[in-house]
Amino acid sequence: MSLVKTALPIFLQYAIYPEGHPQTTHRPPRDHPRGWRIVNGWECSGSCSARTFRGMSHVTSTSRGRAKKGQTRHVMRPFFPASQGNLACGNAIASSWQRLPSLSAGKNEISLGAWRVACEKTQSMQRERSVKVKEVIESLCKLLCALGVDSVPGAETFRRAKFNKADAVADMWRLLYSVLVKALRWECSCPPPARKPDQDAARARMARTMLFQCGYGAPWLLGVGGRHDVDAVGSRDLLLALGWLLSSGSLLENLLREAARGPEALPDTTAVTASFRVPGAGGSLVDRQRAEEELGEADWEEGLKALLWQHGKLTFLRRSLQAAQEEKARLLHQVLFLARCPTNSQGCSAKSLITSASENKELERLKAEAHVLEKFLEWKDLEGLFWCWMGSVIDAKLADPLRPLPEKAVAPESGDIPFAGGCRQAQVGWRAVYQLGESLQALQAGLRTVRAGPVGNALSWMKRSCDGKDQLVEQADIQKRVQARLCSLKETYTLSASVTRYRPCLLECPNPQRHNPASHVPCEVGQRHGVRAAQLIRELREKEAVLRSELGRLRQGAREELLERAGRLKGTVLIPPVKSGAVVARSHAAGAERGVQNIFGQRRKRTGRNVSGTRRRRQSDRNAQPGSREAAGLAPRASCQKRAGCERSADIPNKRKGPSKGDRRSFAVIAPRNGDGDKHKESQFVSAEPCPASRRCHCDF
Amino acid sequence: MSIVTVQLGQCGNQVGQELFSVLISDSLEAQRQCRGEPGRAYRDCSLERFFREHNEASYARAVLVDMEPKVITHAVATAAKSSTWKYEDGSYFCQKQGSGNNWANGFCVHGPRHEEAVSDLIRRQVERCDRLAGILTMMSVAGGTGSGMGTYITQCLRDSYPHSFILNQLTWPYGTGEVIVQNYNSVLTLSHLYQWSDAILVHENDTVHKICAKLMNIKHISFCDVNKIIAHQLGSMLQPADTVGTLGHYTRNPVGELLKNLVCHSEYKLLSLSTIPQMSSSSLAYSSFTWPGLLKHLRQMLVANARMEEGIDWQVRVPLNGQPALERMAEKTKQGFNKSLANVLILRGKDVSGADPEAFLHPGLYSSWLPAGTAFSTWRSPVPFNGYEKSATLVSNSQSLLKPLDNIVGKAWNMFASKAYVHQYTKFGISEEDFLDSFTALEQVISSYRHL
Repeated sequence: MSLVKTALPIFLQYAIYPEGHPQTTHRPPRDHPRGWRIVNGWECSGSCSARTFRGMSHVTSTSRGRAKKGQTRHVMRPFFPASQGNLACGNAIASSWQRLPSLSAGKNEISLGAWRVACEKTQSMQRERSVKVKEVIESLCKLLCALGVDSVPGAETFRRAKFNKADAVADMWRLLYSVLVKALRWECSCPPPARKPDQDAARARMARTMLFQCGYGAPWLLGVGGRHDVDAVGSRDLLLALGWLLSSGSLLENLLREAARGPEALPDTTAVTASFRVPGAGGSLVDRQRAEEELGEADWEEGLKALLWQHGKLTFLRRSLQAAQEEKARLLHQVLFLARCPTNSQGCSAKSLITSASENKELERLKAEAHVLEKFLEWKDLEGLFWCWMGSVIDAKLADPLRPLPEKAVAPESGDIPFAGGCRQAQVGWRAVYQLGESLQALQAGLRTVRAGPVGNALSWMKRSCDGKDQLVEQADIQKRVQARLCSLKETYTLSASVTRYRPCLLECPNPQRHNPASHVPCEVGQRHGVRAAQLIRELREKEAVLRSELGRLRQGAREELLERAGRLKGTVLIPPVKSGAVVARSHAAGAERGVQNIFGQRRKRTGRNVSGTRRRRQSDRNAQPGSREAAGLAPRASCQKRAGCERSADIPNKRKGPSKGDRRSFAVIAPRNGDGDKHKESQFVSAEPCPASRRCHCDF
Repeated sequence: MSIVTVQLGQCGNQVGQELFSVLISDSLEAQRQCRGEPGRAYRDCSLERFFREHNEASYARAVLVDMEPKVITHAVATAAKSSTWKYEDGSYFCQKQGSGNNWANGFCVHGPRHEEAVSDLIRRQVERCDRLAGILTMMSVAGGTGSGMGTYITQCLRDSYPHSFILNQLTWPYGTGEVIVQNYNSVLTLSHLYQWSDAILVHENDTVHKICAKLMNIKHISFCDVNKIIAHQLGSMLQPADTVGTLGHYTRNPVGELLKNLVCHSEYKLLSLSTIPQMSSSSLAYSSFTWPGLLKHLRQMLVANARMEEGIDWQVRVPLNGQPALERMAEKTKQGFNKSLANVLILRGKDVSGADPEAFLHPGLYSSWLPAGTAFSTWRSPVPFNGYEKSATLVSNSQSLLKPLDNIVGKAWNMFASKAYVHQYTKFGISEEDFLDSFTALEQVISSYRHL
C-alpha cells in the first residue's frame, strides 16, 4: 500500500484522468505496449531551458506516438533534479523504486511487472474509495486552512484555474501570497502591504518576487515575451506555480512542523557559542595560516582543551534535553490516561486537573495539533490523486498553442519588480556560476601544464644527460623497477576476474515472483556457484596474506620512523593506550626531560638511598637489552606483564639514565614544567633507592 | 526529576542513610521556617527528588546493596524508626558472605553474580521516576563490596542508562590505613570509575575527621559522626537551589546542571566539597555570620586548599594575572596555591540575594583555557539549610585532590613493586596487567591535574 502511495504521483498520471481526457484513460500496458517515459515536461515544451526549471520534475506521456512500437521492456526514467529543493515526491519515487520487488537492471527503471501491479492496486483503490478530484482539492484546502494559511479559496477556484479562467486569478494570487508569507522565513522585517485599494496588486507583486526568489522560473515570471505585468498572468500559470511550491522541498511538512511545535524552545545555546573562542578561528584562510604560525603549541593545546570542554557541555545538554523530552512524554501519557477513564476517583481528579486554565490551554493546543495532523494525514492519502490532477493541468497547458517567444529571454527591469534584490541576486548567482566555470577551466589548464612540467623537465634532463652511458643504464634500471612496482601494485589492487564476476552472478537470476525479501536467500545461487565461491575465498585469502605482509612491512616502517622521531624529541615517552582507548601520549616542552629527572632525583633524595641499587639496576638494564619497541614504551602488553613491576623501568628509554625501580613513574608521563632539575642530575646518579623491585630484578638475572 | 541513590557496601549504606535523614529533616524544617510558598516549593522539590510519596509515607528512592546483612538491616531499621521516612520493602539486596575487603572479589565475583538482581532493583526505582535526573552511587574506595562491586554496578549502570548522569560519591580511607590493601582498592576503583562515571565526588575521611575534631568539638569520633558531616555536605549540594537567577524556581535537572558546570572535560572528573560554616549545634545558636565574611573564608579555603575554616593559610595568594612566568608559578605552587578548573558556589539562607561572589571570578583562580565566567557559577536558595541560618558550599573541580591521590597511587605502587598481596587479586581474575593499566590511567589523571 505504501508503495502505491509513494509511487502514485507517477503512476496515477496515466491511470486516471479525472476530467476532460477520456482519450487517454488508463489501459494496462499489455494492451498498450508503448514506452511510458517520464521526461521533464518543460524540456518537451521547449518553452524554456531545463535549468531554469531545475526544481521541477514533471511527468508526461510520450505515448502520443513517440515511443517505438514493440518495445518489450518499458523503461521509466524519471528526471530527478539535483537541486537543493529536491522534490518530496521525487524522493518518494526514488525510494519506491528501490523498494520495488522486481527491480531489474537499474535503480531508475521499472519493469512491466511492477508497473502492472501498481496500476492494478491503483485501480482497486479507486474502486474502493471512488474519490473525486474535488474532494482531493478540498482536503488540500482544509489542510492549508489548518496550517494557518489565510484566504484559501474553494475547490471550484482550482478547477477554474485549470481552465485558465480569468476570474480565478485574484484568488490564486491571494493564495500564493499567503502560502509564501507563511512559508518563508523573513530575515528582515518586511511590512505587509498596507490596506490600500490596490492591496491585491501589491500582494501579487510581492508574491511574484517571492516566487522568483524561491527559484521558480516560469517564462511569465522571467518576463519572457515582455509579459511583465502581473495582470497578464493566467490563473493556470498560478496554479502551476502553486503546484511547484507544494512539490518543491517540503513546504507542507515545514509548515506542519511549525504548527506542531510546542511552546517551549530549546535551551539557549548562545551562551555556549558566545563564550567559546578557538584561537585563530575565523578570518580568511591566509589569516588562519598566519595565526597557525604565530600560535604556539601551548595555545593549540589550550584551544583543544576548551573545545573538549564545550563538547562535554553540549553532551550534557543533549542528555538533559532527552530526559526532559522523556518526562514530557510520560506526563502527557499520564494525563491522557487519567482523562480517558473518568469513572473512577482518579479520573475525577484528573478532570478537575484538566479544567484548570493552563491545562485547558494545553488541551486546546493538543486538539489543534491533532486536527492539523489529521488533515495532513488525509491529504497524504489523497496527495497522489492531486498530483495526477496537476499532471492534467500541465497537459492542458501543453495542449494550448505555444506562444511565439523571443530568442533571448530578458530578465525584467529592476524597476518592474518591487524587490529587485532577488533578481539581482539571481543575476549575480549566474555570473558567479560562469565565473566559477571559467576559473575551473583555468585551473584545469594550469593543472595540465603543471603535470606536463616535471615530465618535460625530466625529458629535457634525460636528453641532456644522455651522453653518459652508465647514466642511461641507470635510467633504464630505474624505469624497469618503477614499471615492475607499478605492475605489482596494479595486480594487487585491481579486482580479479572472479571478484568482478561474482556480484553479477547474484543479480542474473532475480525471481520476480518472490516479493518476500527473505526468500532471496541465494541458496540455489550458492550451490550453483559453490566452486567459484571456494575459489574466490582462496584468492581472497591469498590476497589477504599479501596485504597483511604489506601491512606488517608498512607498520614496521612506521614504527621505525616513529622511534626515530621519538628519539629526536626530548622527554617524550609513549605509553600503551589505556583500555578505554584513550591515547596517553604527551610530548613535553624542552627541558621536560630534566624535569623528569628532577622528580626522580627529588624522590630518591627524600627517601635516601644507597648507590648499589643504581649500579645493580643499570646492570639489569643492560641485561634486559631493551629492544627498539621497549625503548619507546610501546612494548606489547604480554612482555610488560611478564616483567611487570620489577622490570618495568627497563622499558624506559636509556636517556632516562635509570630511574628507580620502585618509582611508578617510570612508565607513566610526568612533565613538570619547572626545569630546574639540573642540580639534581648528579645526585640522581649516585642516590638511588634499594627498592625490592630492583633487587628482585637483579636476582632474576 | 528524581535522583536514584545506590548505596553500596558498609560505608555507602551508612552515609546514604544519614543523607536521607538530613534531606528529609531539612525539607520538613524548611516548611516550618519559611512559611508560605517558598518553603512549600522547596519541600516539594526536595521530596520529589529523593523520595516517593505513597500512602502518606515517604519512601527513599534508594537501592541498598551489601554482601553482609548487618549494615543494611541497621539502616532499614533506623529509617523506619525515624517515622518520617523509610526504605521501601524489597529495595535492598544482601548476601551472607562479604567480599573480604578484596576489590577483585567484589568486581569479578560478586558483581557479575548478582548483577541481574541489583539491576532489577535499580530499574524498578528508575521506572518509578517521572524523570531520572541522575543516579548517585555512594561507596567507599577502601573496602571490597563498596569499591569492587560498586565499580561493577557503575559499569552496568552506564550500559543500561547511557544517557543518564551518574555521579559517584566516594569516601576515601584514612591515610593511616583501615585495610592493608586499601590503596590497591582505591587505585583500581578510581581508575575504573574514571571510565564509566560522569563525576567522582570525593570525601576524605581524614579531613572530615579533622572537621569533627576541631569544628564540631567531638571527643570520641565515631564513623557515625563522620557520616553526618558527609551527609550534611552532600545535602547542601543536592538540595534544591536556583541555578539560573530566579529565586524560588528550582531546576528539574540538578545533577545535569551540576555536571554541566563542573566536569565537561573527561580528563577532569574529581570533585571536592567544602562547606562553611560547620559547628556543633550547641554553639550554632550563639553565632552569627555575614555573607562577605563567609565568602572570604570560603575563597581562601579554595585558594589555600583547606577543607575547613580553621587554620587556613592566609599567606597563599592568587598569582597575578598576566604574568605566567614559570618561576612565579612554581613559587606559587610551592606555596600551596590551589588552581581550579571549575567551581560551583551554592549559597543558602537569609539575604542570599545580597551575597556577592565577585571574588570567585578572579581569572587567576582558573586555568588559562577556561574563562572564569564559564568556570564559575553560583546557585542560591533563600531557604536556610539544616539549621544554619547562612551557609555556603563550594563544589570544586580543582587540584585539591592531587596530593591525596598522588599519595594513594604512590603507596599502591610501592606495594605493587614488591608484589605484595597481588596474588589475592590475581586469583579472582585481576591480572598484573590490569594493575598496570590502572596505574597508567591514574598517572595520566595526576599529570592532567598537575598541569591544569
